[in-house]
Amino acid sequence: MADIPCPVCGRPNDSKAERCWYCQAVLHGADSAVNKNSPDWLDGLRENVPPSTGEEPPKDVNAAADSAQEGIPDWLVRIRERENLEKGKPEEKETKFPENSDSEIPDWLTELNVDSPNEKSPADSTSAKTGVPPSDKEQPVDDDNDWLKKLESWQPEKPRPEEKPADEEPKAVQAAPPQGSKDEENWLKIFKEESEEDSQNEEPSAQPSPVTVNGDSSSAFLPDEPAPVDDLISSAEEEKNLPEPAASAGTVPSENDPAKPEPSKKNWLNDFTGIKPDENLAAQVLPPTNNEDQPKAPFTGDQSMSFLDEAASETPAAASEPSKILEPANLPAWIKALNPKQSEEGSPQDNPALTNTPFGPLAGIEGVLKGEELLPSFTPPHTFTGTIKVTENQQARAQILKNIADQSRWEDEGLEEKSRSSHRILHGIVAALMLLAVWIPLVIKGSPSVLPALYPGEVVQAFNTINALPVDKPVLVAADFDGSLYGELSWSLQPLLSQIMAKNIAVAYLSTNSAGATLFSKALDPLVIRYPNYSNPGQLVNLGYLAGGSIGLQSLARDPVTTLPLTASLQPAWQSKPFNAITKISDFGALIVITENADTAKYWIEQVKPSLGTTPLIVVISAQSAPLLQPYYDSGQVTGYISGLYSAVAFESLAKDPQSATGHLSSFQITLILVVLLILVGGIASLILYRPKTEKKPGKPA
Amino acid sequence: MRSPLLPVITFIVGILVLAGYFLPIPALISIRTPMLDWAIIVSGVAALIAIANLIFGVHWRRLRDPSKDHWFSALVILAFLVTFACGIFFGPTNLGYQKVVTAIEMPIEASLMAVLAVTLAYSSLRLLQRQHNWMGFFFFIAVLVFLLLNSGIFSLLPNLPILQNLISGISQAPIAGARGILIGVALGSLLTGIRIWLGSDRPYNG
Repeated sequence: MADIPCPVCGRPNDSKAERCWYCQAVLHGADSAVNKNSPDWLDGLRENVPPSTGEEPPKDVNAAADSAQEGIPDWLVRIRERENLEKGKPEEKETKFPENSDSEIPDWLTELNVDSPNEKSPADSTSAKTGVPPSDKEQPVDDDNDWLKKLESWQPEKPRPEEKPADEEPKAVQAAPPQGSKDEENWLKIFKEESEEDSQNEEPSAQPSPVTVNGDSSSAFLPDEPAPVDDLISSAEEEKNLPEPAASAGTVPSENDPAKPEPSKKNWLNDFTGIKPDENLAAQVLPPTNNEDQPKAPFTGDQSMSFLDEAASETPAAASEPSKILEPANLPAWIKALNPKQSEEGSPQDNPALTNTPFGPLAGIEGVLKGEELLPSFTPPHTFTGTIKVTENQQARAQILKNIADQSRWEDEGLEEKSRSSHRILHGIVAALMLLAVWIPLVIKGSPSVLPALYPGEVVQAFNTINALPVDKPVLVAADFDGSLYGELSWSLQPLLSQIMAKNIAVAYLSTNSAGATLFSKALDPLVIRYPNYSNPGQLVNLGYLAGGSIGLQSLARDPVTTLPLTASLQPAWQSKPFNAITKISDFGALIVITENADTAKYWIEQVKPSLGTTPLIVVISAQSAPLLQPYYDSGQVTGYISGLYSAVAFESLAKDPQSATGHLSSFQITLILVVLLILVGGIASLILYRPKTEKKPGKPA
Repeated sequence: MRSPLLPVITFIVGILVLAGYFLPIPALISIRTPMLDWAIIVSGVAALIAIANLIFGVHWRRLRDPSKDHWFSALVILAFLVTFACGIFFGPTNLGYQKVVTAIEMPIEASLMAVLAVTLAYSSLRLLQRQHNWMGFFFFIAVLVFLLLNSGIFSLLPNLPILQNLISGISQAPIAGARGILIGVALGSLLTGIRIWLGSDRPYNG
């Protein structure tokens, strides 16, 4: 079988195909086959409408002459002849319908067919726009293909347009010819004369009018109406042979010159060979958009739906008025609030230029946000610098610190020489009194002192622990103190070490301070003299310096033998008895930490105490750090501690062995009382002699 | 941009040491033990490097600067060299060598502490003159009370129950403050450790 060329793209298709494989356009053969095999209900309407120009009968010269005499154009004469022929051959019509076609046509549709010629169809307004004279039977040839215009005849009788003021009607409606037979004859005569002149001067266009194609394209591309497409294509092809008036009847002349025929133009579909994927789809599919050169389509959306507009005219007149300007959408308030420009400058109706975007996908839509207008609202990201932001409170605190520093410098620099010397004298007097308070009790034997009546609990616990130490287990002493507080700590540790040495318990000592082991050796000197039997070889082992701070303590708690394998004199530390029994930190009889720093005591407690187990931990600490050690004693991590001279005196009192601490107690107490008196007197004097500082005025000399 | 290698190493080592501290797993302990030994060695070497920097990086540079007085720097360098040589030659347990600490270092530090005691006593005379407000007065009273408490003079009146209870109650006040300080220090240490562990603070970058 031969292939059927597509009327749109021109490509060959299978004869059985109903639509073009390339562009999905309806094919001729398929449509005809469908029309033959399936009942087309629209065919019933053709009884009362003029036949297609494709079935143009032979031209009757006599009838044409008669019509010329009557002043009727040729094309109208041909239409009437065709109608007469069809009326004279009813059997040919019936052959196109199935036998039960009449029975299948609804009654209401039959009534419409009967009544439609006598009614004033709204299509008259459409014909007026196209320049075709309205007539009860004379319909333009091109209207035969427009099925939607036929449907307009179904509409009930509408109010006549003349009910509206003439100035409110559209321009095309104003161009419509007047109603009435006389007027109809007049303008038909004028039209005939012009058409005859044009038919004599011009040849029929070889190419189909693009207007016709465009005008029919609205229905041709509708997939659900195959029958009008068939007629459309056939009429488009045969329109080439139509006389100029008839061809122009299918077109819409320009509004400026409705009677002037439209010049033939090149059909853009002839050049369409298919869709190219790499090009713009819209540019390939849509016709050229040059509205000035391209004539107005005879069938536009507004016109095709004119009957709907008329139906809507039953509503209030204001709503039925056709408006060329699209009414802006009523956007919600929250969307309007999003548009800063609109919120500032008013609604889009007030200033449509602000919201009517001229380009982009939302072009022409009012009330939309302009993306370009939002660009200035975007700001570059904030840059954070490395400068310090100081708050007001911080500035106030810094000012307080500055005032304190300035005050001390002012007192040093602003003092006069006389005042400065008096301060120096007072400073010397205080120092001399304190030295006397320290020295006189040491010189004078039997100086008064107040022994503690009650013994602190931590001292009692330390004393009991030392007394309960096993003899065969050595004691590990950590001497982590420096020379500044050697005097206090040496007096504090002597009673404790005296108890240990009295029991002949071996001692191994080390220090995390570089000078601690040496200072501890010096502190042992009076005890070695006091206990000469204790100085047997191997009873005192100097393990030296333990590096690493808290990390070194961790290692010591884990494995003391590996951490400190040698003594300070580079001898094996763990070979002599009783140290050879030590394998872990808990094998010691006790751990004694001597320090003036609370942080050092804390390191020992936190790092080593968990590995000690039940081995007691005793701390000898300076009085200034005793409050920081008290919580560890309360929690049981520290068995007992001795803090300062007064606790050492208490320990000696418990041991009933007064030593250096008791001998220096008198000096200690007298000096403290002296200092208290000095501070009290100085404070009272300051309260009495206090004069608030007055700021120096700039005009007065200092 | 700083290399992420060091924070990663810090994180892994911190995890291993911390896990080895809380979990008595032999595998973790075997990893943790040499790491702690390395840390001890590195800390000892760091102390030696610090001394070398003090001598040759600071004082030796001052000697080469003619605009500055370089006598004390020369003395420091000389004392260091002698002490270092004696320590190497005699050993740290030598009695003569220990005189460096017991005859020089300890008296100097003790003297400074004695001067500090006198200076504090003299400054306390003018305490209310400088801080003439209620905080200064409160501090003034607290100094007097705790000096008397530590002197033990209240033991003269052991039979006064009200006084003993009052003294016992006042003695607990520093302990309360010390607990607050310890809690703050503990939280600060924990936070510092976490920040170093997670790489927020990188003291190892120099």
